[in-house]
Amino acid sequence: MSEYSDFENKREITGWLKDGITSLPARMVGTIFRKFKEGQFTLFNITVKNKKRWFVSRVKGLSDVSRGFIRPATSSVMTGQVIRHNKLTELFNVIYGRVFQACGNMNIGSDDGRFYVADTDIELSTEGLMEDLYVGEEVVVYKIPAQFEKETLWEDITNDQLYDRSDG
Amino acid sequence: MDIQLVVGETVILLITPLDTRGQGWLLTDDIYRVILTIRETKESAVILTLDGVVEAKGQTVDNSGKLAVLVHSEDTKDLPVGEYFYDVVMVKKGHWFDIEDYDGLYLEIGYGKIKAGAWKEIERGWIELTDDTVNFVQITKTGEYKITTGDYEKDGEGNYINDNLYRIITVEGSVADVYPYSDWFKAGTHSGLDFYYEAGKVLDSSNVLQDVSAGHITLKPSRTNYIEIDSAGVITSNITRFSSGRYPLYEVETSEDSITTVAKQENNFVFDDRAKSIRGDSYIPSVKANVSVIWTPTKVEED
Repeated sequence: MSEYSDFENKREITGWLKDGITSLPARMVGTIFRKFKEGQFTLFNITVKNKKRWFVSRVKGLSDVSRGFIRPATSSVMTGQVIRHNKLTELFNVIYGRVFQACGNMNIGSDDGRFYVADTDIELSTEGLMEDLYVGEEVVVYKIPAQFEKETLWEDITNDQLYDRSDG
Repeated sequence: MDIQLVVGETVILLITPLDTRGQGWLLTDDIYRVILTIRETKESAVILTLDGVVEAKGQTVDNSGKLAVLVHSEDTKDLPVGEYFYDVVMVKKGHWFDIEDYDGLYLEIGYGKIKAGAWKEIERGWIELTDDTVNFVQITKTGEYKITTGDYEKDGEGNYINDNLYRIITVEGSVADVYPYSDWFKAGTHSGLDFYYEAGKVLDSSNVLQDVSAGHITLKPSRTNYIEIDSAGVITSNITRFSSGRYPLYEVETSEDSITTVAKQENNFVFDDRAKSIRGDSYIPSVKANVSVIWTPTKVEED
């Protein structure tokens, strides 16, 4: 039995890929062990952590969640109390993009073990912070829209509790 | 949009800024700071501040700009579990009193506003610089341009009187806009790994141009050597990178026993001393939204 068999056995992950990221019901975290480019795609090889520290998130009452998503925690806090106290739809709606998207076969080194950033609709191949993710880093990406308000001149800002008035 | 942060987890918030009509933004280099803040109420003091970046400037409205904020595990580890508010602020560089053009000793300064009680608009216009000196260009509280030498104008207590704009060096009837200017430190005839340079000038820590004699420096073999000068006129080289606080002169490739390629450096030599207010910088805050900080302890099972 492979080290990753617990993950591999969750064949439902294919369904997740098929449905696209907007249906993501929970989060999945992996570890980058190689990053490279192929054509227009930035590709990552990732590994899921040893299953001793990982489990498959299952939330009672939400049939769509048990699709092989893993969390780095086995506490009942997330699965029991906190999620129960949130409206599930609200919670999951905000978590609809992430770096780590996997194919069904998470065998390290195989092509199937890569995940395509293009599939996640998160452009890692641009400039900025995401380019600097380093090997071995564990990270979750929340992709959120934010509406911005009216532009205020620095000189006109009066509430320095809200915005830093110090020059520099 | 409301978000949820798990204490101790590394998270990237990838934010798509929307305007009040719900359209995506195209971002520019003018957005020079992105700040995520978390506070207990909408109007209370900040309890967590994190800097972000412009992740992508965007090409079209459909593929608009994006901001990214990295939340390291140590950033949230001391945050008590609970409900908070967050917002993301873009700080944008303004363009008041930009240098629009220069010609000989004439310099054109663009439109701007100064605040002396109410805002006063200053139209663009040309000013004349003094030759062969460091010009301290400033604008008075009544909206007149003023040029001094030696330093910006101060009152008896040593405080600046006017709004400071630029330090501009002039040499033989022209603005020295790049460093090294003209033939300063022109490369000579090299010998082996010895890099020869001609005489030049450097701006010392008192804003005075000082002469530096010609000389040579021995470089490391088979490496990229970075030759630079400090404000005291000392020329050094290293194989790592140009150092902050020094002026780059040359990037030189060497073989085992000779100099193979020489690339002269040219960097901006006009010093922008505008404060955020005089430049017209602005804050663009996002609508405040809820962030739930939660905690999920990790259970490690034994074999």
